[in-house]
Parts: sequence; C-alpha cells; structure tokens
Amino acid sequence: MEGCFNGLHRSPFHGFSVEFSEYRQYTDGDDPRFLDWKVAARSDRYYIKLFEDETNLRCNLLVDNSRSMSFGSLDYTKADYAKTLAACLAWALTQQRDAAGLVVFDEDVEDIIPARFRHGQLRQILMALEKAEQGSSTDLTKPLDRIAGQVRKRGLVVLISDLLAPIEGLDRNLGYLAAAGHELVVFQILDPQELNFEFDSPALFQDLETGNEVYVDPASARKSYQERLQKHLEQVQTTCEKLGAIYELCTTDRPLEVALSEFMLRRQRMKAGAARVPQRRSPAGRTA
Amino acid sequence: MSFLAPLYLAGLAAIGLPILFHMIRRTPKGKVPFSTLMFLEASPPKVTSRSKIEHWLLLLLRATAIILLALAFSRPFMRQSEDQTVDTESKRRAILVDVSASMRRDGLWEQATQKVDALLKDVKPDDSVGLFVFDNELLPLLSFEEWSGLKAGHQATIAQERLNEVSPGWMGTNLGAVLPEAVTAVQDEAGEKTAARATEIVVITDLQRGSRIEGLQTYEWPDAVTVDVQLVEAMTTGNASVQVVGSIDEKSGLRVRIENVADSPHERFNVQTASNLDGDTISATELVAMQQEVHVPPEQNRVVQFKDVSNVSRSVVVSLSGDDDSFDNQAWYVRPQTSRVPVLYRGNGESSDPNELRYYLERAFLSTPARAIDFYADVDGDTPDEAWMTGLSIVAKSLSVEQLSMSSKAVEDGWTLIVVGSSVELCEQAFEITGTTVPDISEANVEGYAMLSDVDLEHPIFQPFNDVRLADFTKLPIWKHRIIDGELPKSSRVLALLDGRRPAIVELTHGNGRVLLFTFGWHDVDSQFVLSSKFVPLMNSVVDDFAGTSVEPPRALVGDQFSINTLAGSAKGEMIVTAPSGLEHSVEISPSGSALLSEPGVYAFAWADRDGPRTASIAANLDPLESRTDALGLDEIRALGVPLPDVVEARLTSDEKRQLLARELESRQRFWQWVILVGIVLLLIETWLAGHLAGGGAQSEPDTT
Repeated sequence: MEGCFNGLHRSPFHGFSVEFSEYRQYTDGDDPRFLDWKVAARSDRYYIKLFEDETNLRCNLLVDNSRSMSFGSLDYTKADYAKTLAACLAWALTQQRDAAGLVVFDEDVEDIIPARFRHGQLRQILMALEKAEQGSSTDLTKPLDRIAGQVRKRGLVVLISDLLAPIEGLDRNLGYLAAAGHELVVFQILDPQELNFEFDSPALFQDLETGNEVYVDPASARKSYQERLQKHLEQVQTTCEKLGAIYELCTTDRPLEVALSEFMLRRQRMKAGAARVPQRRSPAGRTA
Repeated sequence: MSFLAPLYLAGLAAIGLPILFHMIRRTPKGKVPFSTLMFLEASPPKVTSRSKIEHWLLLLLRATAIILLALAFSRPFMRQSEDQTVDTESKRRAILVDVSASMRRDGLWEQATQKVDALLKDVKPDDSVGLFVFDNELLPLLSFEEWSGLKAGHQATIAQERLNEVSPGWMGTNLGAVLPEAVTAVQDEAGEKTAARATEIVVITDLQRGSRIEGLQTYEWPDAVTVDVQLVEAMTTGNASVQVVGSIDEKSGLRVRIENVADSPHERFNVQTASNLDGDTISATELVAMQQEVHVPPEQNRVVQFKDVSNVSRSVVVSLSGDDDSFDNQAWYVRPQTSRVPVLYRGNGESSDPNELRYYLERAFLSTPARAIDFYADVDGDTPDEAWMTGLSIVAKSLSVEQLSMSSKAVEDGWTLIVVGSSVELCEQAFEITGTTVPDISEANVEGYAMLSDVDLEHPIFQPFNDVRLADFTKLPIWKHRIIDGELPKSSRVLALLDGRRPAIVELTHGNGRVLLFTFGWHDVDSQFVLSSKFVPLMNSVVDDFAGTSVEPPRALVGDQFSINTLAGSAKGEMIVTAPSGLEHSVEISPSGSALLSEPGVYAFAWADRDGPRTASIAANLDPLESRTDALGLDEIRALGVPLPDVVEARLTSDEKRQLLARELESRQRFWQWVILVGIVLLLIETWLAGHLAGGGAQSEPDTT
C-alpha cells in the first residue's frame, strides 16, 4: 500500500519498522546510520539494512448508482444493498484509521470524494450515498478511467455494481487499475429475481435504464434468460480472476454481515497465501 | 312497455363486446419494470381464444349493465297508463259557455253554440257532462245529476235545447270567480265513486281582456282538473265604449269618456247625447249641437264635455258611433232626485249665539244634489206635536209627558230621534221613549277628561269614519258625561264607549224607528263635540242614513244587486221595479231586499213611504271592463296556474299528438332514471367483483375486458 501515514498495512516502500526486508550494497550518499555493522565486521563489505515500511490503506469505493440498481423484488432495492455495503466498508476503514474515498457513478461519475482520513470524511461519504438513483445506464468505462487517472497511489479499489453491462469494457478498464498496482475487489449485487427470473404471468418488461419495453412470457423465456445471465456472470468472474481481483457475488436476500464476513475471510486467506510476511504486525514491533 | 327513442335499443348490440373481449383478448395487464433486458428475448404476444367463459357472473353483470344503458337511452314508458288516461277513461266534463255582453258581438254566439254541439257529439256513453253558462256568475243549464238521469240518446238533445233557450246577456265577465266555482261543481258532482275519473272544464268564451281573471291569482288549482279554453273569434276588432263620468254640474255639464281598445282600426268616433226619458226628447237642432266628433287612438281614452246637457232633462243617454261593435255604444245617466229632509231641533238658544248648540246644528247640515235640508228649531216648545212626526229630531231639552208619548209613537212609526244626553233626565227619557226599562243613570265623576273608544265603525252612521286615517276619536275630550248602570235593553246597540267601558252612544230601536242616545252633551261644559272634525260628517251621515240619500249619483252597473233599501230608507211595503225593457216586478222592502240590474238603461222604482207615493230611477250601465274586447292571451291565464293545454298542441296531427303524449307519459314516469340507477349499481358491483377477482389472481389472469 502506498499510504501517507504509518498504518496497519504493508507498504511497498522500505522504511522504518522491525520487519527486515533486504540488504543493499552501500553506495556513496547512503546514510551511514543504516550500515549493518555486524555484516561489515564479518565480511568486510558494507551493506545497508533495509526494513519494510508500514503504511495506512487508501481505499476507493466505486458504487454504481444507475437505474438498474433500483430494481428490487424484496423490500429494498439493489442500490440500497450496495450503499449499505459501501457504508459498512467506509465505516470499517475509518475505524481503523484508513483513508476511504467514494466514487458514485452511473453512465458518468456523479460524485467523487477523494480517499482521505480526516474528520467528517465518513459523514461526507454517507451523505453522498444517500442520494437517490440517477442517470440511466451502467457504464463502467468512464468511472474506471477516471479512477485510473486520479488515483496515482496504489490502494484498494472496491467496485460495487450489478455489472449488468457488456463485459468488454469491464475487462479493459479493470485491467488498467490492476496494472496500476491497485488491489481490486468486485462486489456484484444481484436481486434473487434477476438470478431466478421467477415471474409467473406474461407481461411487458420495461428496462429501467433505457425504458424499452419487451413483451415476455416468463415461462418460455426463463431458461434462455438464466443461461445468458449465467454466461455473463461467468465472464465477469473469469475477468476478475484473470486480473487478480477478488470477485464476490452478493444476492440481496443474503444478509450483509454474512456477505461481508465471507469476503473478509476470503481476502484474508488470499493474503495469507500470497504474503511473504504476516499481514498484521504489532505496533510494538515498530522501530523508529 | 313502449319506448320513446327505440333506435337506442340498437345499443343492445354492444352486449357482444364484453363476450368478445372475454373470449379473445388476453394481453398483458401491465408493465413490469426490470433492471435490464439484455438477457431477455421478446416472446410473441399470445392472442388465444378461449372456448370457455371463466367469470360468468362478471360477464353477466357487464352484459346487464349494457342492456340497462341501452334501455335507459331508449326512454321506456308504460303504454298502459296512457291507454287508461287517454282512451278508456271516461270523463266528467263541465262545459261553460260565456253569455256575457261581449258575446253579443256578431257571430260569436253562433260559434259558441257550434262548439257546444261539437262537444256534445263527442261525448262517450260513460262520460258525464254538465252544461253551464257564465257571465259574472255560473249558472247551470244542465247539471251532472240531470245528465246522468236522462236517457243516453236524449242527453245531448236536451242540453242543446237548453242552450238554445239562452243568449248572451248584458253582464260583465268574471272568470276569476266562475272557474273556481266550476271546479267546485265538477268535484262536488264527481263524488267518491268517480273520483278517479278525469275531470275537465271546457270554457267556450271570447276571452276578452276584461274577463277579470285576477281572482285566479289566489286560487290553488287542483291537479285533477284540467281546463280547455275554446276560443270564439270575433270577426271585428274595433270596439270603442262610452261612459258617463261623474255627475252633471252647472260648470262642466255632462262629461263623457270614450275608450278605444288596443287592436282597434278606428280612431274617430261620433258621440251624441239625447234624453229619452220623461218624454222631453231633444229637437233635431239640439241633437246636432250636442254631437261631437272625438279622436281616440287605440288603447287610449278621451273625456268630452256636453255643457248644454244640464239644461235639458233629468236623464240622458249618450250614444257612440263609428266603431264595429254596438253592444256597448250607449251610456245612461240619471240626475239625482233631490229629496227634502226636515231636521227638527228641540232645545235652547239663538241661531246667532255661538255658545248654543243650535248655532252649530243649523250650520252642520249641508245640502247636496240628492237632498235639501229644512232646519226647524223649537226653542219655545210652540211647535205642534205633529211636527215631530215629519223628520229627524234632535232633542237637547227635557220633554213633557205628552211629548214623550208623541215621540215614542213617532219613533215606532219609523222616525229617528237623537237625544243629546246633557243631563241624567234626558238620558232617562231616551229609554222612556223606547218603552224599555230605564236603567240606573248617574252623573259621572270625570277626572281630567274622557275619550271615545271602541267606535262601531261598521254602523251606517260611522261609515264615513271607516278608514284608519279618520277613525281617530281621541282628540275629542269629554269632561262631563252620564253613566248608565245595569243591562241595556236587548234591542239596543252600543255604538261607542267611554273610558271605563261605559256606553257613550247607544242606538235604541223601537218599532220601525230608533233613538240615538249620546250620554254626553255636545258643547259647552260637557265636551267640544260640536267643534270637533267629527261633528259635521257624523250629522250628515245620520241624515243620509235617515233619508236614504247616501247613494250619489244613483247609478249602477249591469249585474249589480241594487239594494232597494238605499232608496226606500225606513219605508215598508213593496217596491215596483221597472226595467229598461219595460218589464215590471215587485220587491219587498227589507234590509236585504234588492233588485238585480240585468240590462243597461234606466230602472224606475216606485214605492210608498210616510210621505206618500215616491219614485226614483237609476241608470244601469254596462260594465266598462266588458268593453275591453281585445283578446286576452291564454298564457296570461296559464301564468295564474290554470293548467291549459299548449296552443301548439291543438295544431298537431294525431301522430304528433301521440308522440307528444308518449313524451309526456315518459317524462311523468321517468323509468329511465331507475334503470340508470340500477345500471350504476351493477357497474359498481362489477368493479368490485373484477377487482376482487383480479386481486385474487393478479399474477395469473390479467383480463382487460
């Protein structure tokens, strides 16, 4: 993580901590304070002892606010679910003194709050989340481009969307972020009805984003719908895996805390598998 | 069941629509919003026909509602009611024929009889008919009872015979009084048994403007009785009339008013006067001199003067020429006959002394064209007793025993005696004259002054004061008066009271005459009666009442019941009445005795009274309203609440009448309102049921029927 403050998260930079990182041969101009005198005594070579730096987390929450998110067969919509999820994450990040930012988008970026850790940041994020659904279609290109352009420092990018958009754009734009060194998490929010398509009577189905109407007999259309959706979901998942992003499919009937805890555990497992050092260290282990 | 607008029944074809929709169309009920359509394929809409009706009740309700709507628009009504009222129901019909003077115009009576004949021919066997004639009153020619008592074939014949016996008279028309009378006659005759029958009054009249319909304003016309006015139309329209205005006097002579009707084509008329009574006819030269040409535009009137008439004769006839109708072209005038009335005063005082009663009495009686007053005063008591038998006596001085008995006899014979009760003795003598028990009479102790109250304004002598502006007697202060205690004789009448409800003026009748007792003196210390504004009118009123000279001028209208009592006064016996046509009949003289003035002209009266044989004559003129012959609109009668059929209706063909009748029946029955109401209720039930069914199976069965 490329944070500004000392924090809980491992930094890609070398700094001052108890965790040893590597040796580097002394060159002129290096601070002689960091010479490893023991090695110099043993081998008569001068090495600089490098330690891992510890920093805070910069997390950008990308929340889809398009019309399609306003669909909901339960008492609440997908947008409600997504916003609650984003709010939970923002709260958790703030609690552990991490910088949280928010990007609300539909076909364009509606609201952008840069990731910071400061007083009032959480409130600002919550207020931005409160806004009703606007826009029409879901277009991931612009918001992801913008994030790629604006967020230079590497950090965590959490995309919360139904991802009911063509997969091509997603592949490309998530690829940019991954290439920029961001850690990617994708929450795909779907309504159970969207997954199961359990409508009974034939009706005119109206696209919430485009307003187009199509007469559909669910009985006959259900099978092909589910097949197409499944294909789409698989494509999303494949893309995420390819880019090293954590992909989490959340249906709105699934309790949020369950979804969140499963995500945390999964992330922890992934980190544990990939990390060279334990992810968390005791502050007592720091060195000045 | 019939329909006013049967074409609307074609709307019944719409009953197929709910069935059609129900059987065929199954399109989606509504829209389902969905997040994206990218995974959905459009399914082709299913338009399937069903071979089975699923919601029978719903379909039935919808079809019934459509049937009811179509029925309501076609305006149903029950023809049975129409048949009952129009075709099968027998009628009670009163036929009223106008015989007023205006019907004397050319051709009117013939038309009227023809109309009656036509009506009598139309009579059905079950019908009951009454034939009446009317002018200012209703007279039956053939009553309903007589009609029903006659044989079926003879009824119409008898009615026609009775009608042929009458002809228009000279009376005025009073439809306002006659029509309610006719309603009463029809309803009385109808009785309980036939109460359900249609009752109709057919009025055959010229309906001239002077028909006096105002009486109908306050009459509430019963629903069950209908009126059909059949008009007889005059061939002429220009009518002018002539009336004598006021009385002949020295200055202005005879004034004559000529009135022209609104629709008259004539404007120039000749008026001439002539004396046709008493034999002193005017010579030819005088006749020319007394002829005037008058210009009277339509709907206006003019008054012309004949100054020389005053020199000619006692009675005058004025003739008009130049208009189309002659029935009202003559007017009569009789100059009033001057009668001499002796007034005797028995009291004190000089005629030149303003402190004495005599001074005022001598000046109180005024001579008029109808009477001349001969005033006698007996101050010294030297007037022969017989003189008391010849006039109106005013006693202000105590009478001797002989005088008392003489007076009593005079009063019994019909004379009037006034007692000015300025002392207790005089008051007592008033009772003694009438021969009744003398009550206790005493001098009143008056504090301040007393006033007259409860004046009997209905009594003839107080008639001049019978007006709110004149009936104030409170400005007459009475300082001294006498109190009569105990009961008054039954034959007495208290005409005014004093404070404490003591009698102030009492009329005591005795025989044919009467004594008027005033319990207070008229002047000096007793009261200021002689100086009050009531004194002169009261004295003259007493004289007029005594001498019968109150009718001035002696004229009347044809149709009046002339009260012969105004001429005869207190005379008794019989009066011979000679009509203008020369017919004589005798009438007994009594307070209620009267002679009907049935024709225009001069009526002569002959009778005998205390002075011997007397004669008088009065002019009976045509009712001026009868001359207003321009036609009255039926709308004006209809506006007074009389249910007349529409005039337009009479001109319709039988088909149109039937249609009109059907419309009337329909508007009376108004079945369509009930049908619409039931339809609305059914639609409400349908809406609820459809909602209920849709709610129960919303997801399963969208239905757009």
